Amino acid sequence: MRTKKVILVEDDPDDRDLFVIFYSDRKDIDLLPSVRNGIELINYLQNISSEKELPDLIVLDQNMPVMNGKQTLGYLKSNDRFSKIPAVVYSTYADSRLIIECTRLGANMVAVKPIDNDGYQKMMDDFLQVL
Amino acid sequence: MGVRVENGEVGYVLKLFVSGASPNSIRAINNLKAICNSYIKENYQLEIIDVYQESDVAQKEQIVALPMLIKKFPLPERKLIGDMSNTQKVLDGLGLKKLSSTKDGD
Amino acid sequence: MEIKSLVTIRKKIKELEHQLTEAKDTIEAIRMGQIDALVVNSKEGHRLYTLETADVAYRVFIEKMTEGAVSLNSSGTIIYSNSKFASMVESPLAKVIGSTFVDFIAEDERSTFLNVFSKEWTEDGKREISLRARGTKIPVQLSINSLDLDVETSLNIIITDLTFQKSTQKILKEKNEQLEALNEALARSNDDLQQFASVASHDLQEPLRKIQVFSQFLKDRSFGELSDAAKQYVEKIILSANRMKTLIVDILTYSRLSAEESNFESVRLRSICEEIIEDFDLCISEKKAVIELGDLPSVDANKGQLRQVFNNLISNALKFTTPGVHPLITIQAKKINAAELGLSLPEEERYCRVSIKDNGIGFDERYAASIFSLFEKLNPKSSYEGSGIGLAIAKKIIDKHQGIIIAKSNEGAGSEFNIILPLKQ
Repeated sequence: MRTKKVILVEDDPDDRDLFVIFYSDRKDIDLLPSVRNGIELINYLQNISSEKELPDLIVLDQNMPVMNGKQTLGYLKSNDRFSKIPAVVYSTYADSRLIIECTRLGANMVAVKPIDNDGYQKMMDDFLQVL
Repeated sequence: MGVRVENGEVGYVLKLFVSGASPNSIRAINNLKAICNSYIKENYQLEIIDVYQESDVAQKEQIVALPMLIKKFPLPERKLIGDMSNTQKVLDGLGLKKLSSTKDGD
Repeated sequence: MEIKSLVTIRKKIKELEHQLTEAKDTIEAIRMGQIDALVVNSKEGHRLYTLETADVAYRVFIEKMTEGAVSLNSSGTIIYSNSKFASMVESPLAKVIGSTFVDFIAEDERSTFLNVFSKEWTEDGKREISLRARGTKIPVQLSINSLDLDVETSLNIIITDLTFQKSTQKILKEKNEQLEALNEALARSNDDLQQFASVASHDLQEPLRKIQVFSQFLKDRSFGELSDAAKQYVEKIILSANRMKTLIVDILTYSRLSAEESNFESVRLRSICEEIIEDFDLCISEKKAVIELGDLPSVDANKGQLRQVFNNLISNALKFTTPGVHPLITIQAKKINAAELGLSLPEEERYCRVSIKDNGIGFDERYAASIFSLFEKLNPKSSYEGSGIGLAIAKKIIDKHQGIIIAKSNEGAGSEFNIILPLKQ
């Protein structure tokens, strides 16, 4: 199985660290350098010239300054080039409203941020399943 | 009370016919009530009939002018027309005699 | 016979004398102006001829009325008007009488009036219309009666000025609008409050999750390096953080539920209490407290909310303990005994009563009701921690469950909280 290129969009440095801590050992994913918000993600994606270089999965934090997860998701899904990239939203709290809204916008999954290693591994497994 | 009631056993039955709240009718009601209360207190029965409102009742009596008082009882029946301001006349009509000691207020 | 006839004649004379007196008296009364009406018995029956003075009372009555009064003839001409009506339409009386009534009606309402005018001759009625006064319109009510007089039929109209009534209605309408605006503002501020509760609890969850993540991290990665005591503390951090997470979620749920329908399920009160006692494990062993848990029933309730109630009460019982005394908390189901609790409760069998009793510092019985108010704290802040919101939340939840919560205490002699809940919702 080809390793999947995963990019995290997350403003919280602790959470960015946790991704590295919990996922650097995984062989099935290739963690791209994280970006801090939706704008940075869009800039990053637009600088990629080859379609093959685009990420296989975008993990969006919901609660971010400048452009939050939902808004970023909305932008991605309205863009011809990026709309096909699978995207998931994760958040400290994910109430039914957030789940419904993000799913409508085209999110592949909405998840609650885990609090331990098992949680992190399971979340990534779930993400990769819906690709 | 300076009055001698001719028939002490049976009370007086009086009917006063009036024409609404016209001035003489009002006066007649006031005067008659005052006389009755002074002279035959609690010994009479007074009906006041407004001819406008109860023309049927009025029809049965030989009414000439209003206000008119009819003494139905004790017999003989007596009629008195006017505003009842002449107390002596009212007492005469009722068949009551006034003792000389009491002055007529008319 | 002759003597007898003499007696009869005398009697007759006496009777005639009497009749004469009556006739004289009548004439005198008429001459003196003591009568109001003459009665004539004609073929058609009994007819009353009112004398000039007789209708004075009515004339004065109508003249002094605070309403306008007019009489119209069949062509709608005013044949009588009182001064009040003249002043209502701001015209001299002499000009009003002889005018056509419809001329005093506001121009745009004349056709309406004329349409119904003909009907009123046969049907008495009331209607609202506007009069034309100089420059303005006056809302009035017309009470219309037709009167069949000898000469002709006339239409009598009482005109009541509705200006005051209408302005009262207007004020009332304005007040209602203000009230509506206030209600809207209140709804908005409720929404804002809801929003605040939601945002606050969301924002609290982020740092809390960090505590959860890193304490768990510590446990998973560095447990071996820690002393036994440190391990225990890490465990306590994890437990407390988890507990806090539950509380935040409960509050969030509660703030949402206050606007929504409650969803009830069958809840085992004993297991709720067991869970809470476990949460307070550290505090219980620190204070050497004993909690006696009796048999408790199951009730229809919102589990999260009811858990919050017991949590708050047990937490209070552990908080307000008497120094130097081992805390003893008894939680048990009791017979309702409404009289003892000062209640009148019909169908007692539909309810259960749970008593939570402690041997703590208690409170002054005078405050038994006010302790359920928001932010009511009876104990000095320095010696006892707490937000002051716990009992208010408890009461609100019990209220939502159609239940009753009662506090009983004597200062220094412990307190007892009684919760009376319907078994089925």
